[in-house]
Amino acid sequence: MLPFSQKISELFLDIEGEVGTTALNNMFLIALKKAIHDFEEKNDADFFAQFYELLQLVKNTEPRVSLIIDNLYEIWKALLTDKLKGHPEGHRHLEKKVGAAILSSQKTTREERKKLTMHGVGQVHKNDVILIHSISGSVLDVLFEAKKAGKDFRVVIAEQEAEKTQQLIELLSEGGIRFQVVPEYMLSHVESEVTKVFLGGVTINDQLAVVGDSGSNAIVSEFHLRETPIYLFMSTRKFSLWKSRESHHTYKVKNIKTLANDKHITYERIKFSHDRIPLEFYDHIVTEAGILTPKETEKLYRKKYDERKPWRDKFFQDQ
Amino acid sequence: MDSHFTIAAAIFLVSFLAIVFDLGSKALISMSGALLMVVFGILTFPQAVAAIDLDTIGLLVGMMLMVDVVSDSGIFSLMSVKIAKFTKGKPWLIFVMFALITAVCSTFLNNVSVILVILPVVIALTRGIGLNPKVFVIATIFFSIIGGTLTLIGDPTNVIIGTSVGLGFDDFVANLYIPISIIAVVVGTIFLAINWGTLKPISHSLKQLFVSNLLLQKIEYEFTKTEISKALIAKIIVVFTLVLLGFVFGDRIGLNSSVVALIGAMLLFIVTTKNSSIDQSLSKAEWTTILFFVGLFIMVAGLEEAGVLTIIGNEFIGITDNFLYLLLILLWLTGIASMVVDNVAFATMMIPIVMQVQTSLPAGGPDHQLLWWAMVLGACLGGCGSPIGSSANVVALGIAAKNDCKISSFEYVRIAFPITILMLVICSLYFIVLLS
Repeated sequence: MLPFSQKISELFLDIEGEVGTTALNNMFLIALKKAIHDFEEKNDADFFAQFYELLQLVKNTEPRVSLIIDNLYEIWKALLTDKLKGHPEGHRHLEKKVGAAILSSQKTTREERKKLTMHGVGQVHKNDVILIHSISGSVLDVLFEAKKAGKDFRVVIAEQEAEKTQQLIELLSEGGIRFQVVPEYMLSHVESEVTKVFLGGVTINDQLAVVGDSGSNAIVSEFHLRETPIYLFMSTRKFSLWKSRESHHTYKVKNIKTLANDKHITYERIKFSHDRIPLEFYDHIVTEAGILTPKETEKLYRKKYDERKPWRDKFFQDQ
Repeated sequence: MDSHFTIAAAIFLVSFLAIVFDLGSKALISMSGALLMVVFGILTFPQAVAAIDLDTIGLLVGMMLMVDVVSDSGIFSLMSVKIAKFTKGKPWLIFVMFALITAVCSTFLNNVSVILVILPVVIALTRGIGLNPKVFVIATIFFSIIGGTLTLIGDPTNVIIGTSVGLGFDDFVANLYIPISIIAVVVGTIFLAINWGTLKPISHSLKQLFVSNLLLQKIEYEFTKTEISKALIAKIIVVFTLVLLGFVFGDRIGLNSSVVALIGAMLLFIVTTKNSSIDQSLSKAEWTTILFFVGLFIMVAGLEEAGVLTIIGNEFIGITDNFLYLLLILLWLTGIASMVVDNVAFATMMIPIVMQVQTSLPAGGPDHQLLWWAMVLGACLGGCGSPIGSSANVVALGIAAKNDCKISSFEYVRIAFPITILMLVICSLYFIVLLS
């Protein structure tokens, strides 16, 4: 049986891989709200103890999802600052607080998404050939809005894991967007056609590295060398405002494959869940606050990082 | 004892053992045995062809085609997700709801099809919320078999017995609903009781509630990515309702079960032209199973023709002249045999023997039809007792292993065998009460 921390990590990874970080955050908030609704605490102390335990588990996932941690932290802060211990309604009263915090977070997410999309659509021009890779809600929002706005462009999907690519194909197809699929290891054959690269990401860490889907590093490197504009779509709430861990999260899977001649060969197949890409390799960082250069993003990141210091000291005191 | 007798017995025995010990494709073994019956002159070719029970074959093919359309429609996945959401991740409710839905679906669909669709959701859900999926896998097997026992079309054994003997859909339900309901409640309670440690409510654990709810959202997203047309669902429900009505009332207008199933399948293809393809469904039909049945019918006809079954039947009648004892012997014999041998093969062999027993019994006594219900209960429920007792067990354990939930034969038998014995005891008590 998996320990809870690992179980939550795997769930987050699975969901993020399928629907992206923003949608994962939304699912997280809904799940938290329902869990609190169904929870029957012994007393207030029990509620606070269990909420704190959950908070510890969520903030220590591999990799950390900053959007979720920030949300959880905000909720926790709201609960503590209101000093609600001993309220006659018990945790039902706290539930309302949590519900309000969740609604507020969802509203902020919607507003940020709208702004980010608006900035992104402005970057799509006539006859653009846009390369996309992983499932990013922000990138897809921009493409759908650009299509709605009547912009004439086409998309090249860098083919990666079958399920993710299939999902992208279905989504673009439903959205009526013209696209071609090229295996990611054959992109060199179409790189001259590509006018822009649109990518999403999980977070930017304190090393100023973008944590993105596996395969992003190679794509960014290739198109950075060709000087094709590379756009990163990320809300500033996704910035990781704490010290990053040294370890890279990886999966190691041993596969047994049967070859055509029926020979059983066992070999180690290593899969990595994410890539870390230097922020400076991107040309434009599209956020809700506008379109920034890597330097401007770094400045904004440092400012937010410093502002978060008191929280960080309290929240990540176990580091 | 003439040479035909010896050859027919030898062909059947060798084929039967080869099937039991899984020495090759069941279809290949039974068809080879059938052809040997013709080659050695035990049956003529026309006799062999006449031995094939087309009612059984028609019913099986019709249901296979219908189930294929329904499975591909995504209705099962949608239903599983709705149930998963309804349970709110409560382990005991997951257990009760999935047991119920598995049993209900298995009453009118092939057990294997039900397991293929429901079990992956059950495993994903239970594992995700930190439960051991093994108990849920075994419970799913039990409830698919218990549900399947209730109707003519719920289990291949019932199809063979029902169509060979002329028992209709309503006969099955009317005669079996009492023991099956009792068994379902008792087995469900036992599973809940012995696993209460893991099935108890999680409302006092915030982290478990959180993981359950997050997982439910993931499952909902994964299994309902493709939007299912409401019109398609409505068409499938209408056709299935008509087929069920046809099974119940068909005899009164001269339509037997196989004709009803085939009409249902064709009707379904016609009304769902955009969403189904008869070519694809035909290519996915289990033709090896059909050939296995065809071979079995011919081999059993060979045994009958050579007089082997008459001798076995006479021996069987000679055991006792007490009808209750005869019923109990038949129930336990088919029950125990079905744990270790293919219950379809065993039932096919037993049908002519029981027919002979039936005709030799004095008139005016207890209802002789009870013999068939004893055989149905024994053959179906006995299949739960071992990992190879029925196709549902084999498929379910295979799915579990694929999902990193390997259940060893010992683990399975340790849980399943005592519960199977208990089910047979309940059936015995039912017959004792009925005849007293």
